[in-house]
Amino acid sequence: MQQIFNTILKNKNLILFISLFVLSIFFLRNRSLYHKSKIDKSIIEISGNIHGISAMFNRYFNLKKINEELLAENKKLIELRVNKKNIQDVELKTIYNVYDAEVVKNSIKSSRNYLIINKGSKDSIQKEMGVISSNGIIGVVSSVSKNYSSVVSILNIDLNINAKFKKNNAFGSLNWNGTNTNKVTLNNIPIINKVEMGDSILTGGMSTYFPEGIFIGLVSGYKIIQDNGYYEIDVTLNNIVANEINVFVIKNIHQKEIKSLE
Amino acid sequence: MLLENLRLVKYFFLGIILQIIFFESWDFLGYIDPVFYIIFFLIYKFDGAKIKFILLCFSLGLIMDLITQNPGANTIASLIIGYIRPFLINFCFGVNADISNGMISGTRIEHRILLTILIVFTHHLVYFVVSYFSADSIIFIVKNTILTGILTFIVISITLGFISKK
Repeated sequence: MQQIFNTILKNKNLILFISLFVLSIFFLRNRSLYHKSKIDKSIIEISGNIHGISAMFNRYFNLKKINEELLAENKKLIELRVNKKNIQDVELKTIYNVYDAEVVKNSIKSSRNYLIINKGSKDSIQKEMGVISSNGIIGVVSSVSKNYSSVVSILNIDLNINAKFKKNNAFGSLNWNGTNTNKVTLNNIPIINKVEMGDSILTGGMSTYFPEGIFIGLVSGYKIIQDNGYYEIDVTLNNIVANEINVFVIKNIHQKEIKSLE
Repeated sequence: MLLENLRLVKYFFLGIILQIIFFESWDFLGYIDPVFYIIFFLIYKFDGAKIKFILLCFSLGLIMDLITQNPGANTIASLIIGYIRPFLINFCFGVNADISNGMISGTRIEHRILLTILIVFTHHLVYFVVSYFSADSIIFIVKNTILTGILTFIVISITLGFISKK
């Protein structure tokens, strides 16, 4: 103990300097948007590099599971292809570009969770692109550095996503209440719509982040908010966000045009 | 001791007040202002308490940033000077590094000039690196560091000359 105190006393100038320096960086980050964006980019890059190493090991030890997931996804795609009568017509209507990426860091312990993926501006990733996995939605890109991107997770209380019922297209706003990592809440569905347990919830397509019709999860509970005439619906997510490794970043090629009209 | 502290307070606030009232509006060649508050980093006693000096440098930079609406470049530049000044003094003055008022009397003029140059240009380099915060702006950083550094060096040298004579 005495030695620890001696070391601290011996290096008191350095400790004071480092403490004040960190304080200055926070001060700088909070006072200037330009510096905030630059510092955040550097943090993403550093964090991405560090977590990239551990993610590499994790991927290696999970190769069997990843292979099984890829086979299942391939099967789904082949089924889709076989069932389409005229696939060229579908491709002409495509307004989304898809980029594959891997998650290198994924937090689920906070109320505002983020992921870091291993694709950045050099791979054409931009802010406000939607991120999905083969099983559901993951989040929205919030910040991009050269090699990595930060993604606001669907498990972030600040993120609202447009979602709808598969059976009747009634749409509302989906967000996480910060408690159960498997459940999100769908709000703003008027009580004139009939809700049943097990109903499918899909992305609504009213925002530019996600295409319409991506499966999010199933209704697992609901109650009526008497004051305003809307349901509060619990939706169990189809995917386990914490376990996602392979994800897809979606770019709406008309996003700028749509945003300019909003 | 009290007199010494009063002298410190005098240069601390004189640096800030003159910087804001007078030197901030120089706009030499349209955009260059000398950084006068650096005088405090030079006048502070060589054998003064280092912790106190680091805290004073931090406070000086913070006050300057708050008053001039700067995001934080003055704070970081001043803090770095606060930490590295003892090393610079040892480098410039060698065995004379323990002379308390070495910047005013008792040391050779070329050593004082060397310390002034090192402190002025280190401060300005850090200041402009933090201000621009981009590798693409390296030419602007170097250009501004040199031009502002020269002007600051001239102003500081004249002021130190007056103080020494007094």
